[in-house]
Amino acid sequence: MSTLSPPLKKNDAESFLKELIDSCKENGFSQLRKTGTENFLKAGLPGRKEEAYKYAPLTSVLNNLGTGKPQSAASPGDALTYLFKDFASGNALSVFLLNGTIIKVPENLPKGLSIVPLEETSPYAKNTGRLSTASSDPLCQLNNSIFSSGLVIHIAKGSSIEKPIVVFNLISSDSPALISSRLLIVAEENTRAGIIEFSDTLRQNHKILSNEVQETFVGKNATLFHYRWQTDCEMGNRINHQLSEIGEKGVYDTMNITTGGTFIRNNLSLFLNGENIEAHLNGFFVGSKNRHVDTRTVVDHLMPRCESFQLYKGIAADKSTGVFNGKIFVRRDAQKTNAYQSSKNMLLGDEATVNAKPELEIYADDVKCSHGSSTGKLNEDALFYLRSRGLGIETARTLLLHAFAGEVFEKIRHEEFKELIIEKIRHIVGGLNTSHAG
Amino acid sequence: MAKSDQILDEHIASEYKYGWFDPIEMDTAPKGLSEDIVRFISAKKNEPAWLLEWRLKAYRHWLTMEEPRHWAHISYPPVNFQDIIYYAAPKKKEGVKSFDEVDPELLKTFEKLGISLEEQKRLVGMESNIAVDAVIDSVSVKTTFKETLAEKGIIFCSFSEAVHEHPELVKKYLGSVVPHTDNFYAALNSAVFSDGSFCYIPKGVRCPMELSTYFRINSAGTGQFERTLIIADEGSYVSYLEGCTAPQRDENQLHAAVVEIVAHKNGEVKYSTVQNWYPGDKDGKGGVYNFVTKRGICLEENAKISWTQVETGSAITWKYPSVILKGDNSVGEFYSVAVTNNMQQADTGTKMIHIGKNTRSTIVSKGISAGKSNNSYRGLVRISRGAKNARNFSQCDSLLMGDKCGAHTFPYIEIKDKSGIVEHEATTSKIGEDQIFYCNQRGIETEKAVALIVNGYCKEVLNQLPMEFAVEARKLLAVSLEGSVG
Repeated sequence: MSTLSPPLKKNDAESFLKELIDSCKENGFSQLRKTGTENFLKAGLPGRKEEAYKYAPLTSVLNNLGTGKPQSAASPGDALTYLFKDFASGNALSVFLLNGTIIKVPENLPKGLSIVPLEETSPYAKNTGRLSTASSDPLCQLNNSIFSSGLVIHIAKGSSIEKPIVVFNLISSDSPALISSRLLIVAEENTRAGIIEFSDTLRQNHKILSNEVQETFVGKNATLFHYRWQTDCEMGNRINHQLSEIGEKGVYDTMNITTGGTFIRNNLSLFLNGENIEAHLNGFFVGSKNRHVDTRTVVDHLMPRCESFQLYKGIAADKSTGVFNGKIFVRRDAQKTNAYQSSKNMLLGDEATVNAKPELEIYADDVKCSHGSSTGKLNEDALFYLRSRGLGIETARTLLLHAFAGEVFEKIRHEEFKELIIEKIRHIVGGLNTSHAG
Repeated sequence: MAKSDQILDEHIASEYKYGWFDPIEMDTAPKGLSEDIVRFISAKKNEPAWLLEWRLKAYRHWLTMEEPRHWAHISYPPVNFQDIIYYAAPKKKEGVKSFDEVDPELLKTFEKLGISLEEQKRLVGMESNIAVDAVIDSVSVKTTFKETLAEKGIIFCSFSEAVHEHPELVKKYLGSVVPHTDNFYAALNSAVFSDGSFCYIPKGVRCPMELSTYFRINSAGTGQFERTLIIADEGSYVSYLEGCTAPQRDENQLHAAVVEIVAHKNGEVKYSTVQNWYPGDKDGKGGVYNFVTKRGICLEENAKISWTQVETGSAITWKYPSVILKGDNSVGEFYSVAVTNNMQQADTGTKMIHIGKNTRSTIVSKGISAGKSNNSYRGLVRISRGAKNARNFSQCDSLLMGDKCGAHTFPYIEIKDKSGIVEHEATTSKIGEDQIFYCNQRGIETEKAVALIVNGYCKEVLNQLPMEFAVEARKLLAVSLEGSVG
């Protein structure tokens, strides 16, 4: 395993990645890799002048990364004893991934559900790259080029999977590394299923960047929820490209909760490619220390009579930064569209920053679209009200922050997960440094 | 000799001088842009050395810059900067003899806007006795107007005049809000600006009337690279109007103006614009590219700058009137109505940069798109670190008429202070069929109903305009949207 000297400039970072592309001669998906490599080298690493990466300090994230392939420092055993093991037992179908590679899949999968490694020869893999090759994001193209592992979750036509599929997406390496993995989710016609993903970079003392692509296809009349909670350690950085295509009368519900990591970017692209689709995109982040949480959503209304709802909230404490960049496209044909987007943030730290860019791009006239964005501090009056009723300042503050977060979690369709997240978030916001004069 | 006669004589004499004594004097620069052209313009205007230096600095910087073609939501063929005449002395247009020679479309529009016959003649450049009278009228208006202002110590003159008569003020403030390095078109304007308006309101003076470029006859024909500088000293107030509701047929394709406003302690400037440049024909042929940099700074405490704009013209509008809220407790406002029809493209909005404590800003933007046009709001609200208790409220609404147009919103919100409160909301919708039906039912035909609804929709902004302006703006909205329904 070789570790390069840190690439400080954009040019250095590019040559570093070029080397990585050359060193990666994996088998399979040669066409996808070829296109990815070409597109990536053509675009180069996005700089700050690139609109999509305006607020993202990408070059610093790519500093100090080795070119070596990740090694499994943590044994599957470590992973199994992980924090959420009690959640994973009994009522869920738990899948364990280490750096994108399957380490454990439940033995008796219900009928219609297949969970297999992503291989070109697999009959389930035929949609791989359909959305990601068209992506304009150079880092998504980089994944197309050098991804080393992947997982397919396939739900066969007409199947209804009662238990949630819980994916433990763990990242670990014994040296600095860039890890590229993929997830392909196919929910065929008339299916119902839910995925809960715990994304985590296990505690270590060198920097790791996981650049992952998730492609989701929701078929006609299918309902799928996919919730993700990112709890990466301080050395963990994650760029997630979540690309989804929904078919006629499909329902897709997704949520990203970020409470860990140093640089986290969630790139969501949703293509509403049928009529009468219902899409829900929600997110919540807690920023502390130097954490940078960057969410970018693109909801593309291609067909008439679809609805999309977005609610993104965040709390930025200490020196953290929260970025929300949401875009709603309503194409010429997408008449009778209803699209809503809301982004609300709370600043707690003196050196915290929130940047928001909620965009609308609308080409059809018979539509109802709106967006709202607000950023502010804890409501002094509410705080006073609670204190006047005998609550301590800490308790009152935690209560308010928790209530602020609660609006997002109310939308979770899985009771057990909802309870878990509400409880954990109470703990997390309670521990925030509010540096409040109050 | 009566004063007006004297002025008339002077006026005629000056024309005479121009056309008779020195017929070979070059009053137009050759096509293209170079350091020589910049020197030529400066020499032509008899400018002091420091201003020439300033122009050259801007020109040299402009050479290093790239035309901003990609970030805005507009598309147009590249501008050939060497194919533009950068200086043409204001001269009398080839007049038309009677209304028969005037484009009947234009006359119809005049009629709808309710512009008086005299005014129509002035606008089409008709030579007649009445037109001369109109000039006399304007000159005398200008003079009486100037006297009243002078009594109060207000300076209101052309930019060239200010350079010669008040160099200390121009030197102090020129480029202090929009530096020559600011952006591509601001740099270009700094290098080649032809003329413009200069306005200074001294301490504690409330300007008794609305100042308008409309009164200044000499501003006609110098519009291409205009430069406006407005300074409101401590505790002063001025309301400034720019533009004209009448359609301007202008052969200049590219307009790159710069407006700078400085408001001192307790000073207030209200700047209203009605922009109705030629938008091109139905297929998007011709039309003006309006690439304007407008910015004000609230330099000290309690200053206030308010922008109101009604944008209906131009093939392409690229314009972001901004306020830098530097002084504590200062206030910035932006009220905008932007209408695009046929093939027009507009990318317009504002920037509110909060630096001082307790600063407040309000943004109300109403976009209306019809035909095959694209209308974008693009705005920035930035709360800098240390801007305690800053407050912003933004509202950006879009109205779509027809299924071939586009309405877009690109707000940028950057907050670095936890005590700041920023709210932004935007909606996009079309005119409700039930609303139109309601009007139809009461005997109001559809086209009028649309005008009525649109006016209601824009009311919040139109109410900010000075009275006469608001009345004309209402009519203008109706005319701009003609033929976009049904």
